[in-house]
Amino acid sequence: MREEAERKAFQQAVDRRLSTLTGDPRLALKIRVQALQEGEPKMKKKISFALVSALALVLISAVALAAANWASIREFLGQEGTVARMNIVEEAIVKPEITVYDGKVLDIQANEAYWSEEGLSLTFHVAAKEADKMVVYYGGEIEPDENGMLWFDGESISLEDWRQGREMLQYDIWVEPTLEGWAYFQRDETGESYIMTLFGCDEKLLAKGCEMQLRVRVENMQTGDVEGSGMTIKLPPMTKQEGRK
Amino acid sequence: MEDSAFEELVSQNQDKLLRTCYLYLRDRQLAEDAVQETFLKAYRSLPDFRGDSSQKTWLTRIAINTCRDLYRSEWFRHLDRRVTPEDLPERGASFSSREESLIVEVMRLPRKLREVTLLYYYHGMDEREIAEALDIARSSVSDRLSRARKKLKGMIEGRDEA
Repeated sequence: MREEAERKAFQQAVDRRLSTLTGDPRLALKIRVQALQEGEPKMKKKISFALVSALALVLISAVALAAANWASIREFLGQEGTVARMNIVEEAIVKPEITVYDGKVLDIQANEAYWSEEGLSLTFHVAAKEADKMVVYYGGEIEPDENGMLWFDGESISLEDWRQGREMLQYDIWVEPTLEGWAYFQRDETGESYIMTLFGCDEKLLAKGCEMQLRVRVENMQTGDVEGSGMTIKLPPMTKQEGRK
Repeated sequence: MEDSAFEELVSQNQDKLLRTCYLYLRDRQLAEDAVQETFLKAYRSLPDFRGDSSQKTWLTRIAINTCRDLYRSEWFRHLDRRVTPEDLPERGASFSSREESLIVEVMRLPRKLREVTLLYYYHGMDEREIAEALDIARSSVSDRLSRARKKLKGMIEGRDEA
């Protein structure tokens, strides 16, 4: 009886507070037309295979690849065996500059930028300012399994053993206005390397050099404290390169 | 399935699915995408629907798994994942502050706890149905529900009128 009452109260809370969230009266018609046309759902471009592969790769190989220099576009995107395998023209890699970052809890360093037919790739190194904290990329979904264990490269470790008393700062970085894209991250002993490739950037701006606005969100997983901040990076003029090998 | 039957299926379920997807994904546009995809999948697979569960449960299962897929793609589109009452859709029906707080706290739950909470409390599914829908052990469902209840700090219990 109590469970039923709780469910009823929950349902009532949702339906009351979200009462203006109602469906499209023409949805059934749209679906039938869409199905008849044998088309795919009209959705914005979502995650690429590359991201799924990358996240899986990162999670299972975090230990094994810790020594690799994944912060480098040449290493990360250009090597055989990596997900992207792009033709990298070293001369076209430029150094972005962070001109504004007003966050208090992270150190973020912009390393490289590269523009190809795949999109604009940017690399950052992200670290916690305080030694008793560690950074964790939002998309990595560090979540223990049913037994409270995390798995890396076939090895399990408890969350508590893994973080060793450090507070976990879960961060995310994205561009504004929002663009589709994909991201990789790689942990090392100092923090994480974060690489994003953005689709649909303004080519005229990239060609002449521009400033780009990003947002950074950090949530302390132990205390729940959240910091949202802005970041501006300055890109020198760039030249579009070929894409994948 | 006849057009009228499909229209009925959509009209009877889409508001609830939309609210579920919104609470799960914390993004109205993504939630609308998820509902559209859910019904498209349902439309295409209706001939294979075996009736082992109710159509409502079957649809919910498709929706929650669609949300799970979308969740992994959501990371780049969101503007900010902080959830405050001001982030919720515009107000309509009268509601209590406790109800609004409950919505916000549910949206702040970790994803795995959020999904079992929505299925159990909003959709009235039992632990076995949730385990089947999410393809996880029933003991995991119990564990996650227990953790969700603790995090919600008794907010589900008791009710006050608007």
